[in-house]
Amino acid sequence: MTVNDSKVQIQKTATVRSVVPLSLKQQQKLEVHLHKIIGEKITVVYEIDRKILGGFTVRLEDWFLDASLALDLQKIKEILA
Amino acid sequence: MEKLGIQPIPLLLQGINFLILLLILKKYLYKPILTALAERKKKIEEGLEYSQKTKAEFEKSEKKGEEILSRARSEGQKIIEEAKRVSKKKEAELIEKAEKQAQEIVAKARQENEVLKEELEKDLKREAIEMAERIVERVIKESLTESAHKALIDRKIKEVARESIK
Repeated sequence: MTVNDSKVQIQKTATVRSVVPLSLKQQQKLEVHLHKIIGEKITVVYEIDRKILGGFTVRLEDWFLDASLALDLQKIKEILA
Repeated sequence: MEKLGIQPIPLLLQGINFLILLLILKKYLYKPILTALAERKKKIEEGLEYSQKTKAEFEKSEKKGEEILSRARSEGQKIIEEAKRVSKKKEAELIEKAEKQAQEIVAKARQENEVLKEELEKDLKREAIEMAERIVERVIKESLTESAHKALIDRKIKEVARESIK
């Protein structure tokens, strides 16, 4: 009987939300950059969310990246107020 | 004398009678009359003296009364002048106070108006921004095509890439 001592690594899952689905090319590009930012391999799931108006958001546990049109609109609103 | 019809003896007797009558009259009639006249004269003199004394006292009292009246008039005039002076001073004070209060009210009203104006402007601005936000959201939802969304996602990925390099 042999014992397989290879390490089992549990990957973290990030959720990407967008108004329209990302193309495969877009998904690949985004995942490469997310890996660089986070510094480790992650699993990414994609969801549709019309509330963000455009662009996308990424949530990984407590970390959150907002690249949405809703945020751009909010910034414009704060400048005008 | 007899040729003239004058008889000496009866004439002498008449003279004696006259003297006797004169003495009687002097003793019993003239003396009381003179005494009564003297008393009457004395009373009249006393009356005159009293009258003059009374007149002098009356004049004195009248003079004194005029002095009192004059003094009273003078005092009254002084009181009136003082009252007028106090009244004018009070009036000036009241006017000054009223003007000050009016100025304060106007200043307060201006300040309140300014605050109200600012609040109104803020409300209007906020409402305009919210309205613009709703319009923009609707335009984005209704007008952006899938290809436009994808182009936007591309641009956002590039921004994320720039952030990852930093």
